[in-house]
Amino acid sequence: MNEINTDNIKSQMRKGVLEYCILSILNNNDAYASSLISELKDAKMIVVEGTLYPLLTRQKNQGLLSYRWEESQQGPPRKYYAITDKGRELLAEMDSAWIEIVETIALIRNNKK
Amino acid sequence: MKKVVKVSIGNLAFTIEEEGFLIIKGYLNELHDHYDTKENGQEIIEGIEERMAELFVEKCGANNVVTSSAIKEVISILGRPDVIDEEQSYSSSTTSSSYKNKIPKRLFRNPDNKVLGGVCSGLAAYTSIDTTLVRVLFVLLFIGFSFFGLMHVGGGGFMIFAYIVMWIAIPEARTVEQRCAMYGEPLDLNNFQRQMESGFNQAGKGIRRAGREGVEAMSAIATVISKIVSVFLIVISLGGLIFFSFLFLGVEIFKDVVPVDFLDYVNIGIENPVYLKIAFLCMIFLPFIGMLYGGIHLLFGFRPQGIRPGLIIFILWIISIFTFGILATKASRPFWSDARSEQEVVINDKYDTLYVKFESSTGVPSSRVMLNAGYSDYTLFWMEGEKNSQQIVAFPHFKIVRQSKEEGSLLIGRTDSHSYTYSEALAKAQKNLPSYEITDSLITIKPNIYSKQNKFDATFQQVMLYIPEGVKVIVTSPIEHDFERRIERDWIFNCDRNRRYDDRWEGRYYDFKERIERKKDRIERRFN
Repeated sequence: MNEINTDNIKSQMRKGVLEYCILSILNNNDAYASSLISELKDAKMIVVEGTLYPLLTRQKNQGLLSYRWEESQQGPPRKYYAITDKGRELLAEMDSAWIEIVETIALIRNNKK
Repeated sequence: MKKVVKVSIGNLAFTIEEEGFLIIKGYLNELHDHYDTKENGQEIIEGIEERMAELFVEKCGANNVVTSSAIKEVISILGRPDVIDEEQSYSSSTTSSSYKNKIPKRLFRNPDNKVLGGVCSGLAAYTSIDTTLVRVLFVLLFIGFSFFGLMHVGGGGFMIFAYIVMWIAIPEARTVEQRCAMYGEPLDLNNFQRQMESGFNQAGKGIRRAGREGVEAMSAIATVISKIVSVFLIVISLGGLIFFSFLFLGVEIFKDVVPVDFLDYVNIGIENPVYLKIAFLCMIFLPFIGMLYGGIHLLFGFRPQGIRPGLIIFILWIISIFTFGILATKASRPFWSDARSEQEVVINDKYDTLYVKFESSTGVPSSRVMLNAGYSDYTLFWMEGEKNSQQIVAFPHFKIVRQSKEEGSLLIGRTDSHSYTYSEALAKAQKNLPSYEITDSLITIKPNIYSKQNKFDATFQQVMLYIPEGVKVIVTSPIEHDFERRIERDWIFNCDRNRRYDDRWEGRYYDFKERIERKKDRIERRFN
């Protein structure tokens, strides 16, 4: 029971920052969905790969990112995602929010000690 | 040996084992069910499908056969819709991680466990009652409806009707998801697998039909029609078998009930036709047996090994037809030639009234039979005696013909007879001329008496009376039979028992007369 709870909390935390992660990755480089997946998986941000697609679609609809079709190494063209200006604005906000959270938590933890 | 399917996933071609194909199809259907209703759902599914293709290439290489295990692995990497939802939506769904994709139960016909259309089986799955119990209930209801009234809903037929309606109305559980929905089971991999294995044959058909929904619907209708046809075939064939069995058995049973067996009084020269009877029975019954077999064959779809009963029945039937034809032709030998013998007697023309008497030593009984009475001719016969020594008293066919004034009265006795050769027939006809007596104006006609010793031998006798205008004929015995003049050429036979006949005839006559007059009018008007 206890274990399930910690898992649950972890996944809740991941959920909160998943979209932030996607925007961050795209801010560095434009990418295929597959490379996004591999990066997120390496970072243990997602467990099942299907998770990414609803998020990408949603962010695209919000105008945070766009895509173009590009030939992939497998042959058929695949969507090649890039962050938009609106996405960058949001990312900047998220960055500052993130720093704030990290600092706050550090503060709380230090006080505890 | 494994069957493989070629499919295109994310614009890449793959060769997949049949089992794997079903799993993929099920997974994609799951995604469609989940995302189709959502905004840009199609795009999400496309993305996942493309990723699936990439993973397959990664696992097996672009040209290899993708194994079922690889497919299962890939699906678990991509995640089922409920897992995906849980992972990406940060707003809600913080609840129950033990949430199962419980899909609502739906009513389907069960193709995996069916007798006719799988209706009972589907109802059983829907109500979670044992299938056998539902079937037994159905049959009991059918019997109950049939026996204990309830005729206002058509008795047992109501249940059959209800079944057929359900058969048509309730869809068959074709896909694995539908099979799960039939039992109300969540669509997880375990159930998926189980349903897939249980319905493998059915699903095999499904593959061939995949993506051809129109064809699928057509074949479903065809199936229903063929089932209905098969039920009709069975009903008709059973009905026919029972009907003809009773008919032929009935002939045997009633032999002792009917006062007289006419066959005992007939000898037309046909020898004991045992083989003819057998061939006849085969000719009648074999089609019904064939229909019964065909109906059962259609309904249950079994395929007998080696022999083909349908073909054998058909060949036997053809043989029986030929046999019957040959035997019947042979049996009809006594009718191959016919001959006629006539005898003319001129009646003194000083009489303006002629009397006709049908003479019998025992008198004319009231229960006589007259054929064709009411026209200008009739046949008269009756039966006499105790049950076992009965005889048939039959008079020649009697006919009156009116001719012009110049010609005199004439009586013709005529006999038509049949035999194998003409000379035989002629001899028989000459031997059997009708017997009558003419004394002055009285014509006495005498009967033939047929008994078990003196059988009817298919010779037909006629007595024709030709009379000129102005001569009247009165029948003195039987006394009620009086001829009187009504119209130019014909004579009417008047008797209470045949009044109806008379009236009808008269009506016809007047119609005819009116019609002629109307026609005359029309012609006259045209020329004036």
